[in-house]
Amino acid sequence: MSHTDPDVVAVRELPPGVPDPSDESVSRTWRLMTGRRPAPARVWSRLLVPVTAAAMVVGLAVGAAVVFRPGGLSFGAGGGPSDEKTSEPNLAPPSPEAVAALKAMASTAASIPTTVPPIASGQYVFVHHDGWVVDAGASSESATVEKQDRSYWFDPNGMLLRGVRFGDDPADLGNDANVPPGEVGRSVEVPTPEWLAQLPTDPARLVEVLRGAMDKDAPWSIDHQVWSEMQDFYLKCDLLLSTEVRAALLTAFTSLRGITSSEITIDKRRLVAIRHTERGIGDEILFDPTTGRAVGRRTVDVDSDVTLDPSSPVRLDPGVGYQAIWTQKVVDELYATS
Amino acid sequence: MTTPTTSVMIEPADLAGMFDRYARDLLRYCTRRVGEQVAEDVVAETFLIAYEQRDRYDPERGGLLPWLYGIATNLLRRHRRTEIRALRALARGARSAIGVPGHDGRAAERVDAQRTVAKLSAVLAKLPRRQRDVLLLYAVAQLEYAEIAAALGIPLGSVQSSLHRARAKVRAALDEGDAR
Repeated sequence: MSHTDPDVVAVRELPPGVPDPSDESVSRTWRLMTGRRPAPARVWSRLLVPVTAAAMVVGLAVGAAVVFRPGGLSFGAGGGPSDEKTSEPNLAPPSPEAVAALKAMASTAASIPTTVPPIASGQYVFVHHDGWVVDAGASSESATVEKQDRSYWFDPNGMLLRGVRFGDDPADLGNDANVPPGEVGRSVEVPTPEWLAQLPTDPARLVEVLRGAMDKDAPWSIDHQVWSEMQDFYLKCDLLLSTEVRAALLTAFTSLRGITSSEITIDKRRLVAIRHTERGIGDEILFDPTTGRAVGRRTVDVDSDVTLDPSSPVRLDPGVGYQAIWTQKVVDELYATS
Repeated sequence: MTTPTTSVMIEPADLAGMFDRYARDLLRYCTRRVGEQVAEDVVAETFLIAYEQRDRYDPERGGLLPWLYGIATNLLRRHRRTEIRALRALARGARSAIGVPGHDGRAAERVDAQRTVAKLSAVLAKLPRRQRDVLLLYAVAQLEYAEIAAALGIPLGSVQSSLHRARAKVRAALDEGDAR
């Protein structure tokens, strides 16, 4: 008996004419899943699965979309999504407000000379992640939030994840030791301090480098892929960016299609949220406007009608399914925090 | 199984990685059983359950994909009526589409195909639940006997006997079609 016996094949092909699952079906399934429980592991999938597959995961995480209301950006404590759908993919020009905010932060970043901390083999970039994720449950429109107090340790040789703790508990999110050594230090996905140092400081060339690393066959816009990648990139690498590269990145982003901005406040701290929206999900990188450094990220479901349970320990802006602020430092050994 | 193996291990704690690797396989299997809309719901729920119950996954008892198929198959039992109704409708539709065969060879082939669909659908609709689960995990998911046993949590011998009985009914239906 085998899987190719005629009777088995006949069963396999029943009902006749059923196509393989479409990208749209996969995307809807992802959204169903994350709507019930946003997937915090998405960040790490890009480290743990092959590049092409990972690009799809990130793509899948962004469904249709909305941009911030033109010109208006303040809704209470933070920006909220409008009900204006974008095309799929989002090819809208960057909003004037976003361009202005990015240019202002680029100027600020360029005016603050920073010294990139030396980091040697055997040392790690320690990231403390103070986050919240919304758990909407299976059908309830009243969601609870889950605290994500997490610590990550990245090997600078490829910024590969080597250690994780959830609170005080060790956690296993897999490992990315299988990244081929030849790929390390050659792309934005697996950067090294040396690779970061040689990045172009001409914004036009820099954005070419970023766009060139994306999957042109993915069903998501190149600029969306760039933005998703930058969310991960900043989490691991902001600390290691030179003054010039940090400013060039901010300027480079002004050419990304689908970018909008808002001012938000988290823990009484004023931040600028730069968002790329595509297919229903807004992915934000949160910047400190006084330094131009990236300090956090959010994911916003622009179609969400979920409201937080009144007993929620934190207030999140409408539609926010995930929010995190991070700090970074170089440490001398795995699991060290200072 | 249709998903190629790679050197990168995926674990249940990596929800996005699991989804990326296996969603299409599960959707293919579930869509054939209950249609696209219900399949998407079942597959989404499958991954969430796998993630929530990740501590229960034992790699020594089988691969991750068979484990996911097992969860999905359990969830599909909630939709048994939908599945049976769809199979009966398929059988009825195929029978009504047979009509009077034309004289050219292609028309005759189409009639034969419709007749096969009608017979197969009717047989699948009448199979006991376990036999149908085993047969579809073997035929559609293309799992091996041991993987089906792990997925459904039943002895290997039960898989073999269920599959043998189910396939005997399928072959009988196909033979009956050929004899016409």
